[in-house]
Amino acid sequence: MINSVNKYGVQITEEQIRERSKKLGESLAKKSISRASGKDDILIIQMINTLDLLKKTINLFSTRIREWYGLHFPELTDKIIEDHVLFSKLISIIGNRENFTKENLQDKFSFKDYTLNEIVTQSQNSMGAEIDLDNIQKYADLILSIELYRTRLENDLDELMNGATPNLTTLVGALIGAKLVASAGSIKKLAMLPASTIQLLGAERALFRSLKSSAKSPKHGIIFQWHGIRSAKPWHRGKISRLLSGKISLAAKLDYFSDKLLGDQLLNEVNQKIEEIKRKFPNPPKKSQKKSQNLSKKKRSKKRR
Amino acid sequence: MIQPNIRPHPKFVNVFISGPSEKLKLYTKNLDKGNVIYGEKIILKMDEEFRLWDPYRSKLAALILRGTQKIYLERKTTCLYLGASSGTTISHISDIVSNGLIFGVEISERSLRQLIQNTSSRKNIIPILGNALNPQEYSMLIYKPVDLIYQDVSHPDQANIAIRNANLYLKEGGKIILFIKSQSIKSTEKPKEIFQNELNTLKSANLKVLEKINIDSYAGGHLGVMLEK
Repeated sequence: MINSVNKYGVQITEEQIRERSKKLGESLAKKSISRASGKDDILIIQMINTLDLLKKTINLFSTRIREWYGLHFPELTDKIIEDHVLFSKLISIIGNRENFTKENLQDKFSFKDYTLNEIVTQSQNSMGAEIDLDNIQKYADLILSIELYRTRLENDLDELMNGATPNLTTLVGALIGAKLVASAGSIKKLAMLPASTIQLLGAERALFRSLKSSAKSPKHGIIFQWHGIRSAKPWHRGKISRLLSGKISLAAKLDYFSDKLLGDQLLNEVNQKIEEIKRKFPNPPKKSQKKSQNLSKKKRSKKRR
Repeated sequence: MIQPNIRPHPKFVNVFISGPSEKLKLYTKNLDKGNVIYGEKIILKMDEEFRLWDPYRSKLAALILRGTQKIYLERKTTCLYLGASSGTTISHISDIVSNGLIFGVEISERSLRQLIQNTSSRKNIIPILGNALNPQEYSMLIYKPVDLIYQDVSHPDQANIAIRNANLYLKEGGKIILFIKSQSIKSTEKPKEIFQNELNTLKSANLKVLEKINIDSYAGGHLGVMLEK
């Protein structure tokens, strides 16, 4: 190479070529790194992963504060309030169980009469102990601020998803849409996937288990979280999953390859077909006796191994 | 702390060892003094830094510990590294080929980001963002034929990647160190069958198999293969 370059009268040493190649390689890579890092896909993936983590964190923190505050006012912890965020709010604003009066509660919360009376009566003859509530209240504030940030992030994600994948978002909502994008890797990759793969995104472990052994194959992955599948009868779920994943695949392709907005139409089609499925299969299918016996035998023999 | 007795490896240039033969530890001399890549241990001796080479994180070290005959790395070797990732193995190769050159190809922006930050002060590594399956993509950066291709990628078509890059960039008589990852080819088949399949593909492209080494004990489902063009 050096000889051929020098033939044209360019004086350059091997060392210089190496240095320039390194610079060129680095700057080319850096450019595409910064281009790739600013993409909507990457931001969506970061946001949805953060949201998942925040949800988990709030649950984890809340179980702890329930235990802690339960020393002071166990009745509120164990029976009356189930909502984690509302629980933290009560601790943060009211705190001591002696302050759980009717006026205080009506002033800042909107409880039903039954719950209100329950709280007030239980607070007057509680079996809890008097402890220092300062640290617990600070902890409750912390949980509330995480929750506040979570709702903010969720709104931002909603906005971002509406801009980046409008059809997908209309069809399944921003959260599930974002999860699908994250699982596929990017909007482009999701648009390239066949419907059958989209159906099982997020159920990889179950899928490979079924491929390796004789276990049943999964019917749905992330899309199970869609209300239409989650609330459907078990024997409808597989059919609806297939239907929905097909429409998701279409929506993702629309989002990536065109500017058309057909999300509402897709959603209507899905809802119509779900009605049809419900009409066609009102009763659960009968399990054939033979098949189930075979299956149980297989399972047993596996255990022995 | 007792200073380990670091001595040169009897077979390989610029590779160092310590400890008894059944509990051998590998080291390379740090080319980029004062910098650590992945939190590895550093031992100072006579003004030199020796970086501990972990066989569980770097498959080349596993290959050496499993008793390979040759690693084809000399001080002036030019090497094409496919699947550079964040720079664990490539940094040790860079230590070994101290006057040579390495082209590090990586497809993922995320990994290359770390690679660039880790190795920007090493003069013998040229980072390349590209898809190893399409070797023409980075032909403008590889300005001379290479003596060795080192490949460690997670891709279902590993044999073809090796063949295409060898056709384009490898010298006649050059060597390939290839790690076949059975898990990224097909997780439902047995590794042995997958290895046989890949080896057949490689042989049909006129690549001579020199050595096969199973590194299962360090990295599950992996086979190290040395090939010659």
